[in-house]
Amino acid sequence: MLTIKNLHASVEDKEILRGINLEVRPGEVHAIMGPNGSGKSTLASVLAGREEYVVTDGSVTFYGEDVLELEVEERAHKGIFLAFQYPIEIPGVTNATFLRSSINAIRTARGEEELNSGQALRLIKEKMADVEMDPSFLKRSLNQGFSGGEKKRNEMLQMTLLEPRLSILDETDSGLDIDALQVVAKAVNKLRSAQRSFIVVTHYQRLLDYIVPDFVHVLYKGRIVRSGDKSLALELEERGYDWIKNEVEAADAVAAA
Amino acid sequence: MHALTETDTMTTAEQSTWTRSFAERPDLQIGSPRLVGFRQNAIDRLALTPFPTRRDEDWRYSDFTKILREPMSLAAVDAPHINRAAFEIDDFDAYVLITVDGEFEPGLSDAVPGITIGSVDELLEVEPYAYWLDRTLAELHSETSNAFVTLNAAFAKTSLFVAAPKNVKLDKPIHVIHLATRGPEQRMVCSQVMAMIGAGAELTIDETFGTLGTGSPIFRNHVVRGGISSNARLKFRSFQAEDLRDVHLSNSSFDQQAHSYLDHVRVDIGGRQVRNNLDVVHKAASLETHMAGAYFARGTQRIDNQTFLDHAFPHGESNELYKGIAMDRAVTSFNGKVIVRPDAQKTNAFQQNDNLVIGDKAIANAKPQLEIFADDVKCSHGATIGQLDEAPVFYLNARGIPRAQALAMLHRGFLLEVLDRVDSVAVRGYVERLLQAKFAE
Repeated sequence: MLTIKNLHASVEDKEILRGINLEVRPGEVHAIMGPNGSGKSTLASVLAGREEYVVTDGSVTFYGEDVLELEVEERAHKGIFLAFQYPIEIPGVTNATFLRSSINAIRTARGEEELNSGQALRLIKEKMADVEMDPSFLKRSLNQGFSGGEKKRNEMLQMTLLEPRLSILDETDSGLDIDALQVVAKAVNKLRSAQRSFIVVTHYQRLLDYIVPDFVHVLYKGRIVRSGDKSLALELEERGYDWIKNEVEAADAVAAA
Repeated sequence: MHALTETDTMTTAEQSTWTRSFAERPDLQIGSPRLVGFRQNAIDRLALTPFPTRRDEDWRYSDFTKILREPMSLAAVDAPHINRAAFEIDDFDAYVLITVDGEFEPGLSDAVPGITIGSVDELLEVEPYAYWLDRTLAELHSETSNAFVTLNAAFAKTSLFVAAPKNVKLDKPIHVIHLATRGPEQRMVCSQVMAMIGAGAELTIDETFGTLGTGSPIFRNHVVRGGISSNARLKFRSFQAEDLRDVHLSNSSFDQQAHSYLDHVRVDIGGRQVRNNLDVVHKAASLETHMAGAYFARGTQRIDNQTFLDHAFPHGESNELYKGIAMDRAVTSFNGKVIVRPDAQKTNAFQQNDNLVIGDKAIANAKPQLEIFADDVKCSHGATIGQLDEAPVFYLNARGIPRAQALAMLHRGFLLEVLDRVDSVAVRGYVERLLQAKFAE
């Protein structure tokens, strides 16, 4: 479904991604781990189409289509979803208006009929219960004054409503307590199917206790330096990142010599 | 004293036309002798009262001299049949009051339980209203700095008077619909709302404006005076979406007594040229004032808001937020003055004016002014003029919402933030629809 080949990307002329290769097949859950500054969030942002990130080399295809050529909203229409690490607060736009506009934009792009206010509201309320959000959040301005946990629940609500084919969770677990973490995991696990895939970007192994990944990749200095199954995450939890850093530095030193 | 210039001569010539128009309105001589006397007093003063020009600092961005040279009738015309429902707000459960060409129309209006509603003419000499009304009218009619107010005082006929007796809390808002009849020539329609809120009473007044018939433009000259007694709460909201060929000019003033609360909201969407003056004066300690405004000007519209808040006593709270969008070749202005006088210790005064300018030709002017003469206060003010951030646009795009739609949502949201304290879903929906229609133009 998603093929990333030799992806290089920069921010303000600083190269952050330095040759990422990744293949995600339908139904798979890939965890991307790595120390701070390794490029995890950059990878998520490039996939979603954030403008500040300039792709300097490589390719990304989604079901054979060049993702990098697509507008941000077109990526969403094709079924790529990014759960934001820092969801944006938008005063004056209610959560209800936002959610309905988003659902209908995606439906229109898929050639489905738009939902009217009543239909949209029923659907949204039903899914809100799944992520344990109170309906009072519908009338509030989008994310404004929401706590960290509430913002992340709102991200999960959007994911649940839009039913994307590929969801990218950008450190959705950061700053969450155990209850909120379980809500995130429940949302992902409920959506998991043979057709849907997930890229879970995380710094800690904790979330992976609840969302069991098929593959774990370690990102360091803009490259995937190690891949494995879920046991790799447990090993990282136990040993930290330093041993991997040391291995990479040693290998680089050999290559340089 | 400066020499008589050409403009002054012109103004004098205009003033004699107003005097002539007044003489041609025998209906203004009918009614309470006290009121008739006030009107005569106002028209006499008009000769001494200059119309503001751009040379006046407070009118730098509002030039009415051209409009004043256009033909302008103050003659009465017959209003056509009125279909009240056409002017009501959808699903808004409110008591509806109608004024037509500045006259209160009891026959078209709802009865409001527990509240005195009538024309100033009828109630001017009736207790317990007489004292407040007389004083308020006397102040209004002795206005010497703004000829538009003087004109209003001379030509307003039977203004609407709303009085909430002590401790009365009305179960739903009052919706005042001000209608103006178009005539063969441009008409100036002078209307007034006088609101007296008794001690401990609570009232919400929403006002909207509309026109009747077809014909020439309307120049709306509107005056609002509010007296808010101790422990009373008034929410006053004015929604102006006049036709783009019409002119809207308003002058509002509210006095607040101890422990009272005023939440004033105004939205300006329509009008070719709009100028609003809003003054709030604190007459005692420990009171709270909110002033919110949203304005959206497109095409060649000019919208100018001027607010003045006078903190004269201790423990006052004020919170002012005006937000505007200027697009195309439109010009908007905000001039907000807050004074914290020496006795007004422990005052909290906050003022913010944010503007979005869309396109190269639109102009937004912002002039926040905070004058503090007390030392133990918390005050802040700020103004921004700029473009929309890209981060929210990206967020909406990432949820499948195309750029044009995302921008429209964000622009609307930018303005709707000022309605945060408006609890009526119907009123918010009404404003949202107005904005949506205007963005779609």
